[in-house]
Amino acid sequence: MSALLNTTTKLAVAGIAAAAFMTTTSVQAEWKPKGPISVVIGFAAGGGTDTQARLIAAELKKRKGWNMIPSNLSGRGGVVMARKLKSMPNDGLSIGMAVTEVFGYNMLASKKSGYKTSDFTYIATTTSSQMGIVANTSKGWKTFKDVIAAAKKGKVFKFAGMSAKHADINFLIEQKYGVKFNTVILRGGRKVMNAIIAGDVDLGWGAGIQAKAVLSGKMVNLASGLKERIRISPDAPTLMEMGIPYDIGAKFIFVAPAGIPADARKALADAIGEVINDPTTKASQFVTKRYGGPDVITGNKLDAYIKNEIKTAKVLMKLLK
Amino acid sequence: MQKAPWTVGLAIFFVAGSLFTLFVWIPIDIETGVIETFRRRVTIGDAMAPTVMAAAILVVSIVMGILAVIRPEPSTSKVKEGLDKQSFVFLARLIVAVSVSLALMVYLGPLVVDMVNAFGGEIGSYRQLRATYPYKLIGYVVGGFTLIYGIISIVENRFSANGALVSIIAVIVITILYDVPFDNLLLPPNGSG
Amino acid sequence: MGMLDHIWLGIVTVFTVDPVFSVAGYPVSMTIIMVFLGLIFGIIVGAAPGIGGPVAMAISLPILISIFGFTPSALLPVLGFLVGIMKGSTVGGAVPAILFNTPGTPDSLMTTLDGYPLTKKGQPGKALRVAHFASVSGDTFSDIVLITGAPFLAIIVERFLDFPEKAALIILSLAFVSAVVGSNVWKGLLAALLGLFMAYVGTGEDGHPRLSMGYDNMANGFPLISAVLGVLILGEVFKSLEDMWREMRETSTITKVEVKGDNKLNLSDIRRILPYIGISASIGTIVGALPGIGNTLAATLGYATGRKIHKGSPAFGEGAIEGIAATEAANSAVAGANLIPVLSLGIPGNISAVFILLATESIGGFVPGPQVFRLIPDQINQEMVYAFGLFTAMIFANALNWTIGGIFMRWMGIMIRIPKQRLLPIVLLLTLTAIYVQQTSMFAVYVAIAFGFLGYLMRKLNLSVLAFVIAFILANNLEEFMRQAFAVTGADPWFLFASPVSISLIVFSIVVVVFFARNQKDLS
Repeated sequence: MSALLNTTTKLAVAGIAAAAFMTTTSVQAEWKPKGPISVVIGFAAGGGTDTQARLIAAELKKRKGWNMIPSNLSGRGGVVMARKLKSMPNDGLSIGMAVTEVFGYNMLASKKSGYKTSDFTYIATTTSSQMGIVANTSKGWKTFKDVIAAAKKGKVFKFAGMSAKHADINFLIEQKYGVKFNTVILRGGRKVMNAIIAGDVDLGWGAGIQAKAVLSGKMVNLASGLKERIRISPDAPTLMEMGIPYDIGAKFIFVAPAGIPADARKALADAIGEVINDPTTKASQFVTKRYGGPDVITGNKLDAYIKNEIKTAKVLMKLLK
Repeated sequence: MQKAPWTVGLAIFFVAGSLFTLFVWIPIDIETGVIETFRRRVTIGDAMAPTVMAAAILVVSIVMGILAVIRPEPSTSKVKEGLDKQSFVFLARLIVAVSVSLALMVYLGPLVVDMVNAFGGEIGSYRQLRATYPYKLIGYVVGGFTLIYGIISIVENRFSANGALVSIIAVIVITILYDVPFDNLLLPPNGSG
Repeated sequence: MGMLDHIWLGIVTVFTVDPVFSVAGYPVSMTIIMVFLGLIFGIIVGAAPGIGGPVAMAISLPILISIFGFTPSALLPVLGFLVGIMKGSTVGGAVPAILFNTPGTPDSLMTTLDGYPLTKKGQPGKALRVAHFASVSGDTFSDIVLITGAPFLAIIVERFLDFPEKAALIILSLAFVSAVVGSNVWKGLLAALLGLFMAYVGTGEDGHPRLSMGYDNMANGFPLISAVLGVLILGEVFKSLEDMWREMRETSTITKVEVKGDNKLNLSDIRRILPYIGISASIGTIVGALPGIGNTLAATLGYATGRKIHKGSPAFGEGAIEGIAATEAANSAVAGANLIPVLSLGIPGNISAVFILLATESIGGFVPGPQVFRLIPDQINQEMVYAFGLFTAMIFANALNWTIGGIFMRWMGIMIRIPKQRLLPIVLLLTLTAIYVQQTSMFAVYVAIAFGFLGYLMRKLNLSVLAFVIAFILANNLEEFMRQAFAVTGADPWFLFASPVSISLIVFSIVVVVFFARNQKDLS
């Protein structure tokens, strides 16, 4: 039966495409989705990725009249979503949201990720994580250098991260400075925050969720994992300044299965960029509050960004061997 | 003295199952071991939890089986344990009703769309129409009706017009409940797209 | 910010945020409306044959989430509705027991013993009023214990529990649930272990989902909601359908009864039943606070204790209002106390708590557990505000239950006319639809049906479904805590035995299992 379905569906699509071609040759009309768009979110409901995706979807529905249908498919930091998205039809009616790590480090680090870079069309980034090392202010540390100094005296700190990548970076720090951490991987930024507050761990990695606590003076960003210093904590050095030559930052990204029509890719990217860059939208306000503002990359620049992400991930892995 | 054949059977089943899991399934279908050492970090691997559980199931079912043989419980409970021939007859009918309804739910919509297209309708693929009336509801309404009416008929042992009416009304009410107020909710099978 | 600020904020949030309309100048908030609707819905389903609070909660959850969305502002309206159902269904459950001698749920079985004789004497109105009064009293008492107890328990837990102790606490809860739920400790343990094992299929840290046999849909394990609703609700539906089918074959008709009569609740009656309510409410609250032993045991203990202290006529079992009061106060008092372990420890002790947990899991922004009641200097702990908002909603639901609940309940006699064999297939379709719209995948529906058959078999073989479900829900937390404890202790294999607290928790788990294994009992 599925064979029958397939052929007839293909015929139908061909027919529609032909009809569309004939009517649109005169005017270069904008791409319009031919049905509802599924937005598969790679993280659980209520988190940073989910909130952005839902706010953007709602705004697109309002502005463009596109029927956006968000759903959550969490697991393994976005990898489960990527596997599923890969095999969905590439007609622009299925898009996914995750973080760029899913298509860089996470893909390479896993023995069987089940997908590769060329399985996707990269549509648009929305904002960057404000990746930093965080601790309670009550610990008395001003920057990460204080932590290193204390660790050099033989103290072993409990250090929480959110992914294997954090464990790898911690390993690099350990090697560089001859210290030892007990690194623990927790699922999601919120759990890291809770563990820090409850004193279950001494310090941890935060992707931006710590902003409120840092601004109120309850927590402190000790170091930045990005190329540049964290916007709200200009005193914290970057890890690069401290001799760890790696940008651990990630961006939030919309992707689609490989080979979606070029006009669909452009239309989706433009629409998403328009929403997130408009400071009156809830989506834009959310990313500004939590991640310091929108950061939209699309088209060829985005492809280059992903390529670079893979290159740096490979460098990191080599360093570790 | 009351024998507990079902409890003994259960114990044998779980002993066999846990032995299979421990010695065949876990070794071939889990990548990391019980304890993993990776770049100086010693962590608990993916195999730990299933291995401990399978081992515990093995121990518990052995104890349960032995106790059921040497110290059977007094039959205080009024409900008898296990399945009889009647249960299997009922289960078989239930499974048929559920499978037929789900098959209708999933395949009927696409099939209708294909037929319309085959007769020159040119309405596009089912995927594009999965939020469009009436196509998006065909599978759910027919499949849902079959499920309710099928089961009512099994339990009442007859096909009644009255039961059919109840089933139709119920499906329509449920469809309205989920579909009309919420355009971001898709009824089966339309959200999977 | 102190505890009192949070309490006040919680109350304010419930009553003022999101006003829908106003009555005499006072705004009526969305949460208030949802509590009201939930309560009414709860009374209706409680009185309906064969479906109870859990089914109603399962069906309404996806609809509620699509109305209110996934943002934390959805929490209080959604939880308010669920709490309303929880409270309404306990009151409604007494109706068919009293009027028709058919308990809607197992915990109102004891209510039939004195309720139905009163109906036969022509006093069904009195019986219903006694049941309502006792039920709401027990519920209110239990809520007061919850509201005063949970924050302090959470604070103590938070102070003494690190990763290893949290793991040990889950082990203790599971051991306790397995030991007490059924008549056979080993079967209880087997059910819990099976639940844990199933939860470990497809999950894990490594890129290859363990035990998934290369099947992509299993890359994140069995969907939680499919597994839970499948075993709890579909399993029960399948089993009840079979029972009716058998009954139909033997008698070619399904038992039905008729309604008649009416009566009053006097002040002297209240004086007679108050002591019984007090004792039963305390029993119910204590039983409710322990995970796994639910309403049915509380009702049995309450009734048995009442019978021991009762003198005079009519005797228990011949239409004594004290009997109804003792049962209803006890089984209703379980509800509030049941939320103590879930709110302060994140460990659900019974089915209603499971649904509260599922709701918070779907919405986000509120993760039940000890961190909820953490005081942060100079800052508002939003989770604590939600917790006190939830408590406010519960108190408000009680107030509604006191006033209009009784009137509404007495109209519900009509519900019994709905034939159960027609209602249950509809419930089946509703549940499958609810699962689908939350998971948007047919795979989730197939998994739910498979777990439904598993639930059916477990019921047939006397394996506890409650132990299975609670274990399934806690499994991933348990594994995470174990991994984390192992990691933060620097790979100490004896991390579970490194502190006096965790040693005592583990020892206590073993003691519980051994104790109940040696004293085979019949609690159900």
